[in-house]
Parts: sequence; structure tokens; C-alpha cells
Amino acid sequence: MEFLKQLIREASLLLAFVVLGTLLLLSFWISKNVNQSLLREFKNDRVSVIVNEASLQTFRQFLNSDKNVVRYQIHDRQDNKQKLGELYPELKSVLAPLEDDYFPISATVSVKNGPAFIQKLQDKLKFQGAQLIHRPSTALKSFLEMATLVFSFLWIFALFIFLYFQLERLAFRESQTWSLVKMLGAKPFKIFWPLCAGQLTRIGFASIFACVLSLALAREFNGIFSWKWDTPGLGIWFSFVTISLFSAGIVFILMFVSRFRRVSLG
Amino acid sequence: MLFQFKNVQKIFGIQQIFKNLNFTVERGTFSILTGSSGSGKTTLFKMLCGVEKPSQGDIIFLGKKLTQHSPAHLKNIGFIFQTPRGLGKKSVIYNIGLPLELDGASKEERESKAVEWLNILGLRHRAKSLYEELSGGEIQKVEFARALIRKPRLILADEPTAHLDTLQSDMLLDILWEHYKDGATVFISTHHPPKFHHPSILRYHIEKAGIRQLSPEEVALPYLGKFDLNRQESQDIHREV
Repeated sequence: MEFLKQLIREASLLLAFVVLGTLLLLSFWISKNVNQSLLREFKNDRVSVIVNEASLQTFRQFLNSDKNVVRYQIHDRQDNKQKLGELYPELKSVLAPLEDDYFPISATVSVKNGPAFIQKLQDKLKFQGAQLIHRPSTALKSFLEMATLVFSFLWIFALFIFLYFQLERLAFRESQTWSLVKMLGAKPFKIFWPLCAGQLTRIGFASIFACVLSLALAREFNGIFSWKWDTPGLGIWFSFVTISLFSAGIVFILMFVSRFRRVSLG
Repeated sequence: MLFQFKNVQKIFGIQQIFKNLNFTVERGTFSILTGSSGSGKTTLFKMLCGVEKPSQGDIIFLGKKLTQHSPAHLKNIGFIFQTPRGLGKKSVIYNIGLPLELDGASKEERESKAVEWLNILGLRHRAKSLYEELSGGEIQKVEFARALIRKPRLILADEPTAHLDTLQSDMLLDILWEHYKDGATVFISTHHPPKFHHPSILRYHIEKAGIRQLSPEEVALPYLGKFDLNRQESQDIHREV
């Protein structure tokens, strides 16, 4: 009965580790793909500028030389008149007889840093009619980053708890051997390596399982939401398994050293 | 100087075991500690091994505080405890050879040395038996062999002959004496001190939460009327001497 309880506890902790590892991988995958697709489209600031016709050439040169500018589009007077008409169809008949000179020349500029661009326009070209019309939303990005961070923390926590209970179980079972070996002056690593190898094997298998599970779920998500995102690649899997093993090794060393110190001598 | 107890106090709850204990064990000595049951012999041994910490004061081993030594210093010490410490599910030969395994010796080397000890102790037929299958006396011998297989420079033995008859107990004490003559320092606590007398043997007695070295006169002459009249222990020592 005790053995069964132990087995259930161990299996549930390992399962928690696998589930959290899978969630971490998925969260990382979603975050990466959202950054690469959705957010890339809207990641730049957009500035609308009213351009004086006399300064148009200078303005164009400025846009071409400024590294802050990603792309730009200049709308002449006629374009703006037409766009206004399209925007307000009920005014079309009012706008049509007006001369083009009543409408400004404008530019829509995508820049990396909107406020800096506007400041530069004011300082260098003395332009006043510039305004920021779009700043990318960072909420989704922040949310995904936070989710990845939270899952990372929970995953490490699950790893810690799993190793802690494993070590306590082993310490209870092996206390006599440890105590004797300690009395005989053996270095703790004589005991540590075989134990550590066993735990790392479990963590390794659990990590691989988490990778496989995340791949399956990623494919499902792609199917359900009609996404065309790449599934997590070998690089991510390899990094995940390596980080898992490395973290497990470090955590296990620290816990073992502390636990072994508490074993009585002889 | 090998060991030095400096103003050591040991208290368990309200019971004071040692009070301002100042006591030194020199290198290359053969010391015997006696004392009544519960007087603190095992506690003293546990403090020497680092199992118990003094409530106050310091224990100096080879010029450094005991706590400052690395675990490796224990390789030079052969511990023999009152209670079995072996691995029950392992064979006798494995238990005896364990210290050599930890030192990286080959299986052949371990087993040949373990067999030597089994022959000395008359346990050759028990080589493959499990440790947990042994009798009390046999366990004591295995503990003895495991402690001495490395030829330690310091032997700490807490009641090493507690479960043995007189003949076997004398045999083990003779082995300890041989190690002492080879240069080892031996420190034994026992209810049954060796019957032989030798000027090199230092005898100590625990009394009144302290340790007193017995003078040659006290060892050679009856204790009656000299100290601790009420203790059967003192009378035992007297009779055996």
C-alpha cells in the first residue's frame, strides 16, 4: 500500500512536470509565432505628416536617409481629395468642385520610433503637422511573455518538487548505507552519481515526452484555428531537454549536498 | 596531541553529561575508558566522531576543530560502534571490503583482504552470508574487521567486545594491541577492560560529568575506599586488574 502511494505520488509529480513542460513549450511556440506573424505586421509606429509642397523634395530626401524610417507613402493633393470622398461618400458632391489646392499633400510614414521621428521633423525641417496615428499594442506580447515566464517558473518548481520527493524517498531507503559510507570517509559523489544518473534519466524521458506532446498539440492547434505556423523545431526540443537536464542536475546537486550533510555519521 | 576536548559541555534536556570537560588523547597511546552505563561513554565517542556536537566548547582533532575537517579525514579512523552499522542485505565479505571499495580497490583485492580478516576472526564459513543473518557476536567481529581493514592510524572502539565471550573478547583486544604496537592510536570504551596490564595503557574513568585518568596505583591497587565505592563498575575494574 505504501509502495502504491509512493508510486502514485511520484507518477503525479512527473506528470505535472510533463504537463507544465508541454505548456511552457506551447506558450513559447505561440509567443514566437505571434511575434513573427501578427506583431510583425503592426510592430512599427505610423506617423501622418502634412507636407508643404515647397519642402517635398527635402522631406523625401530626409525620409530616404533617416534610419528610423521603415517605409513611407506620399499622397498628393488629388489622392487626399479622392480618399476623403471615399471616406465620406455623402460629401463627395461637395468635395468634387473644390480645387485640388484646398487639399494638403501628406505622407504616411512607418517608423521604428514615432515620437523621435516627429521630434526630428520639428527640429530639422520645422514641420509642425505631424501626428502619431498608430502605436503597436504591447499587451498581447506582454501577456504571452508573462505566460511563458509563469510556465517556466511552474515548470522549474515542479522539477524541484519532483526531485525533492525523490531524494527524500531515497534518503529514507538508503540512510543506513549513506551513514555508513559517510563514516568511512567516502566522498559524497560516490553516492551522488548513481542517484543523479537515475533522476536525470527520468527527467530526460519526461522532457522528451513533453516535447512530443507539445508537437502533437501544436499540430492540433494549427488544424483547429487554421494557423500556418511552423511546429516547434528540433532546436527548441534540444534546448528544452538540455535545459531540463542541466537544471535538474544543478537542483539535484544542491539538494543532495544539503541532505547528505544531515545524514548522521555511522 | 591527537584529540583535545576544550571546556566541553554536553547537555541532553536537563541531564548534564559533561561539564567543562578538558581531556586530551595523545598520538600513539592505548587508552581505555570505563564508566558506568549511562555515564556518557558512547556520547563521548559520538562527539569524537562528529555525530554529536558539544553543547559548549570545542573538540580539536590534529590541531583543527573537528567541524573544520573534510570528510576524508575519517578514512584514517576506524570506528567500532556498539550497535550494528553494516548493510543488512549485503554479504559479509562485501561489508568487510566496503572501505576498500570506496578507496577504489579492485574486487579481487577487496575480497582477498576481507578473506584474510575472516580467517583471523574465524568467520570464513560466513563469507557469503548476508550481514543480517549473523548473530550478535559475529556482527561485532564483522564491524571490527571493517573498521580495521584499512589499517587506520586511529581506532575508536565503543564497547567493541560487548557481545563476545571472554575468549573472543581477548582475541579482539589482542588484535587492537597489535595495531597499537604498529603505531596506531587506540581509544576504547568498555565495561570489560583487558586483563593484562601494561605501563603504556592509559586508563580513564568517567565520573561526575568529567573524565579522570586513573593513576597506576589506582589501577594496580584495589579501588575500594578510594573512589566511587557505590559503583559496581569500579569493582569490576579492580577485580580484572
